[in-house]
Amino acid sequence: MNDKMDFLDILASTLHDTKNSLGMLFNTLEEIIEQCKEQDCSLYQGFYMFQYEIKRLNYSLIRLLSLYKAERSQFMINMDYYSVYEFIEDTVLQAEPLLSSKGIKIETECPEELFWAFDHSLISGVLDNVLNNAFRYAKDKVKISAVKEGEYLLLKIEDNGPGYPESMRIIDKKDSSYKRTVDINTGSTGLGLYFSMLVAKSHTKKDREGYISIVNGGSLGGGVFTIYIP
Amino acid sequence: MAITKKNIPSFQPPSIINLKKKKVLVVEDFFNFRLTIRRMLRSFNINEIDEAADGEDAVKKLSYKKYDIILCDYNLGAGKDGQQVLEEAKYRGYIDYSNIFIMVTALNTTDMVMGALEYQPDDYLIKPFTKMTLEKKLRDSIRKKENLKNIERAIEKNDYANAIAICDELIRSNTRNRTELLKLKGEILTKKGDYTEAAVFYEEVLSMGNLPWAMLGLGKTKFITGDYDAAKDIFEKIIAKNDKNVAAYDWLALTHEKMGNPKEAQKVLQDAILISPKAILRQKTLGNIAYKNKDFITAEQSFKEAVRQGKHSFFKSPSDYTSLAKVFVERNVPEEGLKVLNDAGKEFINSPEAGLQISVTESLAYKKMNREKDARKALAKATQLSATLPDTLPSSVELDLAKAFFLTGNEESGKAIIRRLIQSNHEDQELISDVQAVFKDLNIADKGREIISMARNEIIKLNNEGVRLVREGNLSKAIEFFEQAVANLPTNKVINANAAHALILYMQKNGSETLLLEKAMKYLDRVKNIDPAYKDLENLMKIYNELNREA
Repeated sequence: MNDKMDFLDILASTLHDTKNSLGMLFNTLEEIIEQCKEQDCSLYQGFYMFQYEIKRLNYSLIRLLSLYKAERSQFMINMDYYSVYEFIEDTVLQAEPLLSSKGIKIETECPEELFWAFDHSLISGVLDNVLNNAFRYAKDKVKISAVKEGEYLLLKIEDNGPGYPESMRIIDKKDSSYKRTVDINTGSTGLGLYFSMLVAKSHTKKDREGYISIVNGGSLGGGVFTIYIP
Repeated sequence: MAITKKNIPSFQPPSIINLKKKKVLVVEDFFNFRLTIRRMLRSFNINEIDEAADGEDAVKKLSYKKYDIILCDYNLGAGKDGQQVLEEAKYRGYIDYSNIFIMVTALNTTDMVMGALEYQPDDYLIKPFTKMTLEKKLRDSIRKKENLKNIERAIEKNDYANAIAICDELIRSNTRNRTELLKLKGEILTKKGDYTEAAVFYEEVLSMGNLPWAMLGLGKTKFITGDYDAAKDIFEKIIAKNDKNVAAYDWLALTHEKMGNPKEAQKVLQDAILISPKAILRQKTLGNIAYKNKDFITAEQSFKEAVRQGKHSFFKSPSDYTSLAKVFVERNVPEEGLKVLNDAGKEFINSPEAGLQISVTESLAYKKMNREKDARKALAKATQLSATLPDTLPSSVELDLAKAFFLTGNEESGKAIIRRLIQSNHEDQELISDVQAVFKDLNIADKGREIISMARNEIIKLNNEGVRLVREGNLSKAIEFFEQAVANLPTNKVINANAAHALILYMQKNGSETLLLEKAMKYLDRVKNIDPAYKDLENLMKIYNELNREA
């Protein structure tokens, strides 16, 4: 019969290997940073930049695999019911070391009794990605907030940076003309956005569908990314 | 009430949780990563850290030392994977609810969560992770265990009412572990046999979102209560939402079988196996259905796969080999079957039960080759072995044994086995049609029908006599009567249920007694194991629980 390996398997095992290496790099850097701090060596600031790039690579790989799978069948989603408060705690924990290295402070705002159903790993992938970008764009403040608005959960990330460029802005796009609104040729940011939209859209409840909005202003005067989950 | 926290280092480890004294096992095939994790653990002042580089080593270490925390990578190279380590350790009782098992993975967890059936780890950790993330996971897991401890204890004591009361109290009083509590509550309601209440509960959860576990739970209650149309609908809906949810496939296949669509059931299982081929139990189920459907090519593939995977799995069994051998007999290559049986003999060298199954199948293969003398010799060996074993053999083995007797001309022994089999399962339509299929294969369908109906009539008459005693209010006599019947036919669900019923009626009239309660529970447990959807079970359980509370 056919002894050619399935491309998905090749992709998956290549990603597995690559992610293992990235993981080693990431953790080794973490150790180096810690030693640097102990010995009062200022070089560690630069190492955070490495960590930022490693995380970017990591997200790209996850995205690649998810999108490839989505292309072949449907976008897989694994819903469960979560404490939004704890979810944001986890998200902050992931991003905090990197952001604080540049003096960026993270604020959060979330009612403790807020629970919602969503795909934990997909949504945290989206938020991690936005927060990782804040490392580059925020001046010194990021705010993560969650609130229930009507039939939707809103997860919002604001910063006090220069804001999103005109071409990336999406104001209340409830329709799904994704590919037209995003120019994939503008680079990886576009792909991240495309992925976020797919993730949002894959969350459905009754006849409602998730979506994202990207505007400027907000309470910190910079970029405002919001994902709406029904 | 919105609570704003500023500049959070995000979590305040409660001072009660002390990681220092915890014993940890790190299972990871990648040397560098093992080192990294070890360094992280050391920085939390954990001193007792053991390592395993592969799944086999992990199971061995778990067997002789009790660890508080197990950090196990999913991908462990050629042997057992992380899920198999978890399954085996849980099944063998090396770990229980007091241990924390965290699965470490390099990729998104969705596929894994969907692939894991009964045995789920406490949490997942996705590589790469920081020290802080690891510490938070460990603390969260420890706190969760602490929070749910009393529920697990109550479940262990079969005190379901109390377990549910604690669930409700915790859901009401705080927000910690709410999802786990909801899941647990649904499972306990189902375990308790309150299917109606469980269904209502799951519907309620589903109003908060389309959670696959709640849909699956609801589907299961529909299945158990015999509402197969509704169950099928639900399982299909889950798959439409996520075509990787293999648990839904397994239940859908079961539902098709119950609805009398074995071909459909086979198709569903074949789809599930394409998604998740590394599941030995599913391979066996598919093999059995394909065998019944006389699709011997699929059956051969599945049993071969089951034998292959069995090398690393705790779930290997002699029936994987004997089933494969039977497929070869059906495909007219009995000598291949003998080869497989020879392998089986080496694999299960010290098990008389396996020896029995192997010998029976050997006799079927020899018969096919027209080696009558060898066939009878193998069967004699099987009979000899069966005398040394307790009398409840799996019904598929009994059926093979009967078939071999008929084939080798020993009709009386064959008939005796069938009679007993029928009388132990006289309401089990699936088994009865299996028996009929054997008679058809033997070309004695008419005679077979007669044997079956005679055996059935005997047991029905016996049961009616007991029921008459109950109706006449002669309860002590009815208890005596059914207890004797149950001693002869310990796996007959109707007799067990009626024995329990007589005991319960007696206690309703004369008050609860510990000894009688224990007996009733024993019979009810048997019924639940044989057929959780048994028509009177829910009602009997309810009265039993009331009596138990009074006692």
